Formats: sequence, structure tokens, C-alpha cells
Amino acid sequence: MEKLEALFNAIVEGDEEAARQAAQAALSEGSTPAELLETINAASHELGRRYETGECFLPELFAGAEAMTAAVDKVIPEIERVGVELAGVVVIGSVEGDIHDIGKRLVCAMLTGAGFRVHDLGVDVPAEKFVEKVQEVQPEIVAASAYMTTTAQRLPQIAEALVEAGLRDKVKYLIGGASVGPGMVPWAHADAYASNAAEAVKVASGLVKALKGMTP
Amino acid sequence: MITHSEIERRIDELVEKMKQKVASEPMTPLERSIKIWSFQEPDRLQGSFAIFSPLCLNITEVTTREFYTDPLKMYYCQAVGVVEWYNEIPLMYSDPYHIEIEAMGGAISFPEDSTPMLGEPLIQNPADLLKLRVPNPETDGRMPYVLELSRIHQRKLGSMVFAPTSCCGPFSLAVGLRGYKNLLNDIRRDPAFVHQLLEFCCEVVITFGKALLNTHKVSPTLQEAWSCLPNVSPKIFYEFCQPYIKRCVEALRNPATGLTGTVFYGWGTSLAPDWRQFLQDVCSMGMSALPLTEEEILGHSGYKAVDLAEFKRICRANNVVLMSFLHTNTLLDGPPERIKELVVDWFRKAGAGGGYMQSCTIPIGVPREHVQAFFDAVWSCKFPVCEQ
Repeated sequence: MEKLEALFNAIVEGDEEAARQAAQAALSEGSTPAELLETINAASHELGRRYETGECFLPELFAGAEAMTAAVDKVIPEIERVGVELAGVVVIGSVEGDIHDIGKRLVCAMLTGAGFRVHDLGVDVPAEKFVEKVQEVQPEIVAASAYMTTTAQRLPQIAEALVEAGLRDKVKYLIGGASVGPGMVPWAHADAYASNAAEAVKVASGLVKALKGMTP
Repeated sequence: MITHSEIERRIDELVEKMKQKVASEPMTPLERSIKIWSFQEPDRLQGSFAIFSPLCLNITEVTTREFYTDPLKMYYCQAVGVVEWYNEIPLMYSDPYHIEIEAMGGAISFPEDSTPMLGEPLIQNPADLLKLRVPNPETDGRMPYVLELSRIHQRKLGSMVFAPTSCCGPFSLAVGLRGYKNLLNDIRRDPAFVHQLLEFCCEVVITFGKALLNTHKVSPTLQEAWSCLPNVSPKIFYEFCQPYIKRCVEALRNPATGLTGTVFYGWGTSLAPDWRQFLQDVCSMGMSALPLTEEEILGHSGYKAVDLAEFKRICRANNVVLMSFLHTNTLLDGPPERIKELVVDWFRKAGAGGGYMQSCTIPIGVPREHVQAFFDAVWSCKFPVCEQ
């Protein structure tokens, strides 16, 4: 319990090394991967809350995300060994022509912390790469970000490529990024929009439930 | 591909058209700008927009790559914006966060139909800083392109239209050279290195900025999106941004007018624990103009709302001109009535006494009637404000 508390504090304080050590210590002392994920998720929510209320800014959020990633890296081998149910699988990338990475990385870290398995395709990702990855890992969610209005024009292409591949009804499509707004969801043939990393976690959880026919 | 002689001919045609246009108006856009920057009331509000691709204005004969690499073609697009789309303040710069980095050897790619893209950060580890040299504005990278834009403007529309030039601000340049995430880690683990990097960035900014000032006769705008909240915390702002920006602003003061440049972009002022005090501290950097985005006037997209009239009062007390910016989605989505309503409402709150302008960025695919609505609203905002 003490180690889990140390893990929570290390993430919220953005101390990457302390988070890695606390995760390792908690596992060594018998905490389960599910307990660790729950702690990481709680820390992720706390960071999101602090960001949304103006108690912290992007640098603190970024440091927290790095700490979260360090902890998750310790937990993943255990999850694979003992088999823990994931919150969902996400394929994510910045659209073709867009090399902005920061917001997407935060979303990846927060989703990972919330128990999602995230496959990050990186930046400047063509629509067909999204499709290839969807065929390979069969995610519940495809998430695409666009920072500029020029590159936001690519968002509908991803939905169209998924339709062409016969995959559109098997996944939910989530969009975000600085140049994207909620009004663009129908135009992009998407299912949902998230304005920041903390919101992306809430929206993604709802989308997974919707896909599985549960009440979001 | 359209030739330079044809572009030159078209620009001259546009200049002639502009001369006829301003002859029938009470003052030129340049005279209007001067009044506003002097905190006097001109005939009406001034409106301007930024473009980042020829496609923003439906120009298909110039590629986006040419827009960013060919000063004459870039100027042609800006002149079309002024004469055909009513822009009153065209920008004599493009890609302002990459010019200095490219001039120092940074890899930039220029896609035919998209904005330039920066490769890996030049400073992979702190020791790389020692390898960098302050670039020569007359010869390195696209710095000569930016200087040439200024020269073209002086020959063409310069007597009628104010057109700011620009360079990267010191903190944003540091982010570009080192990478955002790396710089945040450096701030935590090796702040002395960050100060060393910022000293170097100031030298680069001031060298290029002085070349721009000498050529353009106007202090350049400093682009500083990275030093705005929430990209940095107030603590980082006060230690790593404010002193260096202030130094650059002062070094680039125009001795002929006493004015400094604008510092861009919006500062995320609404996110500060005490936004009034934070705005005072931002203004204390000495800039002559400051933008405020729709997000912070209305409180959306993750920002809180500030009191526009009070924001203007604080700016005025510090001799800072305020530029409000409509959000690109507002321009895209409309409807025209909404665009007009916002422009007129903000003018009523902040227009009195001059020192206030209205601006926006034109996104690709914007309906022409939305841009028309923007300018209809701007033109309807006449001084004195109380007569509205």
C-alpha cells in the first residue's frame, strides 16, 4: 500500500525515476498489475484534474506523463504474464503531413495510464498505415490528431480508408488536436472529439463501452 | 508554372488598383495603422488577417512550397489579400519559427502542398550548442528571403499599407533548437544550460531582428507561442522567458519612432492564477502590441474568459496596442451573423481611444461570405465608439 502511494505521488510530482522504482518495488512486494494500473489511473486523473483547474500547466503534465510511462513499462510485462483485462486497444497517430507530436504523446501516456494498450504510429502517418495497424492489432479505437488547419483536411481520409477496408464499423474514430473542434466530427466521419489528454481518456472509455453495446 | 515577370506584372496591376481604392477613402490603411498605434481614433476599426498558404485565398497558381520559399510569389499572395480580400495589414513573413533554425543548419522540408516541416532538433545534447554559430542574415538559409520581402513591400504597397515583419522570439527559438520535451527536461535537470542556450538565442534574435529593422524600418514582431501558458508554467515564464524576451524587445526598439514590435502569440493570460497581474508582467516586457484570442475572450477550448474591457485598460496603461483574434473555426463555421456580432461586440468593449485592432487567420476552405462578413463588421465599427 505504501509503495502504491509512493507510485501515485511520484507520478503526480512528475518524478520519472521515482515512479519507475516505486512500480518495481510494488510488484516485488506483491501488488498485482491491476492494483498498479489502478494507482497509475488515479494519478492520471489527479493530473488531469489539476490541469483542468489550472493548478498545473503542460510542463507538469508532461513530466507526469513521462513518470506514468516509466511505471507502465514496468507493469506491461506482468500484465502479459498474468493476463489482465485491458480498458481497450487504441491505434493513434498524427495525420499525414503533420509532425506535431506533443499533444499526441500526452494522450498516449494518459490512455496508457488508464489501462489502454496504445499503439502509437508517430507523426506524418498516411491513412493506409492506420488501416494496416487496425488489421494487425484489431483495436477498439482509432485516434488521429491534427495541429494545423492544412493537415486537418486529412482527417476524413482515415475514416474513408477504414470504410474501404471494411473496418469502419469495427472501430470507433476519435479526433483531436489544436486545429480540430467538436463541430468537425461529422465532417471527418468521426465518432467523437477530445479537447485534451484528460478528456481523451474519458471519451475513449465511453467509446469502448458504446462499441461493446454497453451504456457509456 | 507562373513566371516571375508575370507575377511582377500582376503585382503592379494590384498596386494600381489599390491606389485607386485608397483615393476614394478618408485615409490609407497605413495612416489608419499609425493612428491606432498612436492611441488615436481613426475613421473606423482596422481589420487584418494572416494566411499560411496561397490556398487560403483560393490562389492555385502558386504552390504552398513557393509561398514559403519565393519572396516575389509570397508577396503576390499578400497583395491579393490586400487588394482583392480587403486585408489591411499583410504579413511580410512566413514560417517564422523555422527561419533562424534553418539558417543555422537545421533540416527543413518543403512539401508542395503543406507548410514547412522541421526535422530533428539541432541540439541533440547540450554540447551541440557550442557548435552553433549566429547566422548571417544576408546569406544564410531563408533570412535573405525575409529581407527581400521587406524590400519588395517598400517598392510596391509600402506607401499605403503597414506590413509587419517578424523573427522568432528567444524562448521559442530555444524550443525549436532543443525540442519542447528536451527543453522541459533541461529546465528541471540542468537550468544553467537553458540559460546558456537562451543567451545564445537572444544573440541570434537580435542579429536577425536588427537586419530586419534596418531593412524594413519597423521593429519586427517576435513570435513567442512557446512561452505562453499553458506551454510553460508561470514559474518557467518568469525565470526563462520574460527576461530574455524583454531584452530582445528593447534591443529591437526603433530609434526613429521609439516603438518596439509586437510579441506573438496570445499568452494564455486567463490561465494564470491572477490574470491581471500576469498581464501587467507580460506588458512589462516592453512590446508595443499584444494579441488576445477569441478563446480567452469567450472562454473556450480550455481557456477561461477574461474581461475584454479591463484587458484593454491594462494594455492601454502600458502603451500596448491590443489585437483581438477570431478563432479559425468561427471563420470556417460562421454563420456570418455570428462573425459580425463578435467583431462589433468586442469593438464596443475595447475600441475606444484607439490602440485596438481586429484580426483573424484565414483557414483553407473558408466560405468567402464569412470573410466578407468579417470585413463588413470591421467597416461598420466607426469612431467614436459611443455612437454605435
